[in-house]
Amino acid sequence: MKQTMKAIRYFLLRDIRTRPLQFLSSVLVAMSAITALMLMLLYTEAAWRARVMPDHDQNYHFVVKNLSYSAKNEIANQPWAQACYEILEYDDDGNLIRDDFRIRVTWDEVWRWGDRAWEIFDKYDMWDNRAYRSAYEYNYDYILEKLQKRYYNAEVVNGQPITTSAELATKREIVLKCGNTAFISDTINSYTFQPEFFGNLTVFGMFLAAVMAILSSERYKRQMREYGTLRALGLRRRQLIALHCTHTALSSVCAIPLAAGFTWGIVDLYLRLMGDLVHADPAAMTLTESIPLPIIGWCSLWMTVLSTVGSLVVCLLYRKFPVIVLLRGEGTFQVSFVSKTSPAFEDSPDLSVYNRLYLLRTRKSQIFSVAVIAIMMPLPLMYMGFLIDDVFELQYTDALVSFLYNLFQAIFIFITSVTVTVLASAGMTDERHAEFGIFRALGIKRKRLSDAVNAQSALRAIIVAVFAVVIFVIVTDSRLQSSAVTAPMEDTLPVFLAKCLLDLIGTAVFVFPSVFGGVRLSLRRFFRRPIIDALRDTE
Amino acid sequence: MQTKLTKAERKLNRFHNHEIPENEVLVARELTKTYFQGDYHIKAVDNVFLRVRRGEFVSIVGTSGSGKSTLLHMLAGLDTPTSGQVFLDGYDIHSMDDDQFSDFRAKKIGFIFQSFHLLPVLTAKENILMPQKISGDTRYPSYFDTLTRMLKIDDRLHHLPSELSGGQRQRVAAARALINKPDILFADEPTGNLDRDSAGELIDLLLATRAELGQTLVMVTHDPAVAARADRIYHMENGVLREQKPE
Repeated sequence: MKQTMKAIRYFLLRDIRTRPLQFLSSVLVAMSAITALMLMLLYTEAAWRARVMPDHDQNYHFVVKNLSYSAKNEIANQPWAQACYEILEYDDDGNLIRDDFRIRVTWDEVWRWGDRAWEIFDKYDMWDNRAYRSAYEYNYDYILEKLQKRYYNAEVVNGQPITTSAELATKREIVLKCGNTAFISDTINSYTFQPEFFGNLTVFGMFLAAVMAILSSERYKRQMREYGTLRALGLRRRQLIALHCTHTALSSVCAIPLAAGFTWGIVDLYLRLMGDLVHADPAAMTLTESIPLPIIGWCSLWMTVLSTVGSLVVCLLYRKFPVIVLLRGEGTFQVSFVSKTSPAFEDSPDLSVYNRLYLLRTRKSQIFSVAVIAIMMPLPLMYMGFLIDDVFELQYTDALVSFLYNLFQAIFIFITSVTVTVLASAGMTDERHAEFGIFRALGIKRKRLSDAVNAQSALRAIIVAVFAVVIFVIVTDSRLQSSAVTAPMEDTLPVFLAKCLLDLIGTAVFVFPSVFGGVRLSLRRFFRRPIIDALRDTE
Repeated sequence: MQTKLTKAERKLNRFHNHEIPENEVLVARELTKTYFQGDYHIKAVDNVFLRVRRGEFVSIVGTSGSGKSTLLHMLAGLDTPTSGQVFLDGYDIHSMDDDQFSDFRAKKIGFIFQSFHLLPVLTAKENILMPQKISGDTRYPSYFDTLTRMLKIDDRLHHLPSELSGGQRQRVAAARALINKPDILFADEPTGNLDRDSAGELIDLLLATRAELGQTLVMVTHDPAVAARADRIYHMENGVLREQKPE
């Protein structure tokens, strides 16, 4: 056993050394997902946001001077206080010359706590700070209306005094959108470990598991002959699975420090670019200061486990392959069952029947490719949704920060998922070069072949889009259910269907170009080769 | 009375060389294939001239790596030559555009590969009928039954290639190559993966269909016994083709 593990280790290291690009691509993909996760962690961490984000109509910094220790403590312990800092300055003799206490609040939180918040504001005379009262009054009705309309579909009476509106809201048992909803971008919070946070973590995990499953599947196909040789030499099935999965796990582990470095770079760049907008101290921050090391550790471990699960699924799909099939490098898990000649084939006047038979008889492979892309989709879709929300918000409020954050995340996640989908689509088509070669040798024209492949890809893309929307709706629904929102608005059926349609369009915009891009890339490669080269692929 | 040619036929006619005698179905001129490896270049096929008459059986023999398969692939239009021309039925196949040659290939050429190249997701019957689906050619509806009976695969028609033996797979591949009754049949070591008995049966069958349909057969083989049954034998060595004179 020990000897075998030694052999596995040797093969793995040798594999990484001889094919560094393959390993690097896995590391980069894992890095991008983990970086996005770390940015999400930073964004949900209110203290960090309070420190590096500029004020806008939802967040505000107060500065109260010369407070006692107990007063500072009392304010800092208020649930609506996101973050508090002491700014102390001493003269050369060691005398205190400046004692400022900065408090970062979220309007929504202050409103939520109503009278209890007012009391503290009165007690420490915070009303007079920086034209707060007028800003507050100006924004109150507008934001209340917006939030109520948006989330509770409630009727709002404008023009009432602040206290009356708040009382009305309480009487109607309308709890304003607040609390743990940072990811929904209306407000921010200090509570990291909430059900919604785990929901988000799951979506990130699903994304990484799916992309790693795609990469892992491609790697398995490429190395099938080598794996066959190892099996023929006595490697057990489980050991082969361990060998394959270790590669993925190792790439995820290597990605963690890179992701941390990359996140630090992004934050640094942000502070350099947006530093003048930041009202608070644009002090340099370290990542671990904002997100405690154990959280980084647990999240990274979670991502590593899920990426390995993605790889494991691939291994399980191939597990029943006889050694000879591996040695031949035949991806025969694509032929799902022993088939009788289809009557449709005999009756069909043309080649279109082949498309139907191919999809039917390779359904295992098709289901796998559809499933992984569909599982990958909720994250890009989620950020696309946030981004669209932010674009509308920009018209009314200064939501630039949220917009920039979501834009960056969306671009980042989109580039990763598009690249992986294109690779997967091209890989799946590449696998069929020998089959295309046979068709070409039998006299099929390029256009006819392209049309046949495109028709199959279109069908696959449609199925992916539908499945992705179904998964997205389920994930979003469970995320909202688990969030701190007390009374989510029930969509009427037409609204729900309209939303699904929008999601479907969003998914199609993403899926179609990626899938067809990959197919086109592969077909172009195929058409550039002499037919005999493609036929040799299976020899 | 001269029949009016269609646009496609007129287009195709541009590649027809009228100087080539009608009885010469396959003509290769100065055919060369060179592989470049850095500063070195290797001539896999070196300036080959070849004329094959209609209905003739020609075999090409030679050691491994002598270039015989490469030559066959170029003759059948599966590979592109570095220089030279190939005329099939008087048409310059490497000058045709892809669509023209695809149609030409679907109707006039059959090819049997050493490693069968059957479509894994289709049953034996579907594999055999595939060329008809591609060319839309249904001129020979009863030929399928005749062919499968002759090839003794009529009881294996509903099996996937993975469930067939090597000999059965090769017979399915042969049936597929023959189903459209092509004018010329290329075979690249068709018996290479078969035992002696299966090999003998396959060659008998190919010769029988050749006799029946007046087909031309060009075969690359390692097997001297198979080669000996050809009308003419060519020997390939280091890319150079020479006719072997009968002893």
